[in-house]
Amino acid sequence: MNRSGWSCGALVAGLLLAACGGLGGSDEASSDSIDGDDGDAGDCTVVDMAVSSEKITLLTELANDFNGSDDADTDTGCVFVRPARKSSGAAAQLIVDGWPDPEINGDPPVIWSPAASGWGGIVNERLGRTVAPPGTPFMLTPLVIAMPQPMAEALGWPDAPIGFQDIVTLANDPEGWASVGHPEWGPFRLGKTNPNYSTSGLNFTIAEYYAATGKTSGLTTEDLTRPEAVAFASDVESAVVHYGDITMTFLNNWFATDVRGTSLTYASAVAVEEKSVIDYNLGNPDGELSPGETPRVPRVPLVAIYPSEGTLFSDNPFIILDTEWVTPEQQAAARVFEAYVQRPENQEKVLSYGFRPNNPAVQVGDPISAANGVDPTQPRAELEVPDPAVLVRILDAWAQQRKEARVLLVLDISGSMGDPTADGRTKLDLAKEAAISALGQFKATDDVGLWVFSDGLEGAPDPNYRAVVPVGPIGEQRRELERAIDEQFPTNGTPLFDVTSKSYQSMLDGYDPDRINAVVILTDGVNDDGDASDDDQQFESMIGQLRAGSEGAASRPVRVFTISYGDGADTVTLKAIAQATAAAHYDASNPATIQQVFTAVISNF
Amino acid sequence: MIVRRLMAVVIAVSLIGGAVLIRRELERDDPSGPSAGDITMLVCAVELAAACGAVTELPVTIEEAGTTLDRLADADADSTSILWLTFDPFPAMADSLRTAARLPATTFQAEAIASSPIALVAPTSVISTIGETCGTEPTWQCVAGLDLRIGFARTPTSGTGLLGLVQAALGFDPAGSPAFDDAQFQVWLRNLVRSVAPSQLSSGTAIDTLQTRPSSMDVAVGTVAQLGNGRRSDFGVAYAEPMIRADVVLAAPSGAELPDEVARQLREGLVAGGWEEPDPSSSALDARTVLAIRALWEQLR
Repeated sequence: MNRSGWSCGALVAGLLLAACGGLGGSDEASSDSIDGDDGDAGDCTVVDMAVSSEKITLLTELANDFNGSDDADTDTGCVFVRPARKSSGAAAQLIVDGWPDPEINGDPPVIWSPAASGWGGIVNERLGRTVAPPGTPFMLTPLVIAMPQPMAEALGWPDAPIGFQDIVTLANDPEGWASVGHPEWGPFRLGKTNPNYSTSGLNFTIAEYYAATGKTSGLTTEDLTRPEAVAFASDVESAVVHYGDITMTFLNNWFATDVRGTSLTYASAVAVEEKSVIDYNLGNPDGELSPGETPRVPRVPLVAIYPSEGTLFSDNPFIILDTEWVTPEQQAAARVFEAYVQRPENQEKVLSYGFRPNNPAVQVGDPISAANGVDPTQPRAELEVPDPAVLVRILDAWAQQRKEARVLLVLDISGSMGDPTADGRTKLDLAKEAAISALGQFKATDDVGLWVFSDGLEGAPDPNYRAVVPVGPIGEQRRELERAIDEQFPTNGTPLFDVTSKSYQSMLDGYDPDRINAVVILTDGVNDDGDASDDDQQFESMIGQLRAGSEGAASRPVRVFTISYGDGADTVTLKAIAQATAAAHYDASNPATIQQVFTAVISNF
Repeated sequence: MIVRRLMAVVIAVSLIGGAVLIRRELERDDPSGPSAGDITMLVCAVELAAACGAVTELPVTIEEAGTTLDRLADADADSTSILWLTFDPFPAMADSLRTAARLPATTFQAEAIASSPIALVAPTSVISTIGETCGTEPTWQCVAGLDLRIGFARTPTSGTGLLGLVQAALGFDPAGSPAFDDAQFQVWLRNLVRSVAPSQLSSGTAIDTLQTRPSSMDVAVGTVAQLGNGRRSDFGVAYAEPMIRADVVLAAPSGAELPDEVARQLREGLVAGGWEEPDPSSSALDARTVLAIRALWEQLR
């Protein structure tokens, strides 16, 4: 039970405002939500869409223009389109699984628009049948390597071509940026999303293997197992800061550190779509302006590096699904909207959002310009999208070659975790189930440990937390972790600040430079240690500690990922904690989504 | 008991099978083929969709010419009620496939209503390279030897994609038609069709893809009309030998009357979209040759 509420003092409020608001971009990392038009569909044929996150705003605008217009009227009735955000990889898995739990995952889509056509091939390959036939591309954007301009210039940009090979060479140089005359920037740090969820991550991983083999087309499964390809991929992955399900996490963190003048030591390069570089430089790093948010031009702009070996395009297809939940009437209705978005006037909107139009009648122009850090005449070469069977093998291979993680799970077992949820089970029951399920996402050589926290814990050396399972190889202690999580039950208060500080310090003391070092904190409440008088001081001290360890060329980054669980969590504080370590905050205000959220959190490792 | 039931099933199946065979034989004996009913739908090749958008008299279906072709070759297809806006010789190819499958031919009556030359489209710098190396009337032998990534639209389905490949195949030996089973020819054609994977075509046609993603290929093969009115100034055109035109035909089943108003609307729409009047001097392509090259593509991919 949370015994008392915590009120943010003036000083703390100021800090939080600086950390969380008015900086241009939310640090919210919860990638999947329902964004569809809330308007009344009436008797119209409803076309639900699952849309990758970077284009949800654009497609919502197009759908709102379309719904209720003459364009939505057909000989057989009207059409009503409802876009909802769903990351490409998550949607692919849901389609393979038959789109379970619509109350959590949203209604099953008629149109699936992942960021790239390759996802359709992956789904068909995994199912052994075609449920995702080739779709008509909607708009285009190439994969680029975003770099802060001073760093790109240090590598010879814009005159010298820069390729994946150059990035790998720098990443593996023990001197890091000192090798090109900039020791103040520390080691080369790469931001790359998890290829199981994100198209940028998938395309970058494909490009790794092409660079390793010297090919630009015809990648085979045999190529993936060649020793030099395996070594090359492992070298690239070793430079990764952390993974994650969406590129916006990196861009928001870059933007937040830009305010403090430390962006050059957070990440040296991040694999993103060209459109994201434009958004960042226009002061809107995640491409979505929240109400009251004002764009702010960054102090250090990003530039897009188009790899000299070639790159891959995200072609954003409209895939009209051929599966049991889609009727012929819905398919016909989907084609009406598909034709609508290809019209020149709507392709002009595509361009205004920083994507390249798919209709050749609309030529590339502003905002795709040098002023925004991108080059409309690039890329000059492309890499071929591999066959679906090869794509599936790439994902399998990545799971083995990705950077290993060292993670401490910190679980709130305060009294309020015993509150019942809609399905009758307690919040703690759902959290335990999700945490145990999430353990399956780690690979055997990852190190994982478990702390639980509440105050007045009897028998623990520190009454505010219990180190239940020390951090160690999960391959050896998976059963122990599962059992330990399952044994937990609700107790007392929520000493959030104290436990955040101590768990962070514990991970910093055992820092392993060859791994992603992280703490994952799940809590449903506000700081409540029985003494509210020192909360402001505690908060300030904790944030200072987290920042001090995370900034600078010689930093030893321990990322603290936070989960707001239930509607009573102190989301503002949890966002500030995540941002202080350039990590991410996740929203599970609806306890039913905790399984999904845990999956997204673990995608960082 | 079980034996008697099985006997009953066998007899029933035999009766049904016999009825089907008798009906097929009756249809085959009918020299006029299936009777033409009322035309209920206009089916348009994707490349011609813009022109079909103006037609209001009939419901319109847009699909790749090869998709319609395969559908019409099916035993269950109703080929007697559609008006088909496609490319020559697709209607003859449909009849040829039906005949080969021992199905009654539709015997389409096709009228040419527009035309556009098959061409190589590329950035002007690439067109200059082709001109400098291969001359103003380049042969396919020369162009294919330039180490360029040459993109065709999805050949088995796209009408203009297939006609482009036919031009390339016929250009292998300027002195005469190639022998399709010649190993040297097959290797040459395989290298050509594999230079750009169909999966790279983000905008459907090769020309659209090249215009929206110039990094995807060096040269796109298609019709000049596909460049459209929004043609970019930094793209040029070269005409390879042998010159082939994509003739747009409006095909109606034998016995059905060609609706004049629909034909007029389509002509106007095509001209507005960059298509030219039909060229009477254009030599028709042989349906069997085009089908053979289509089959060869499947084999070489």
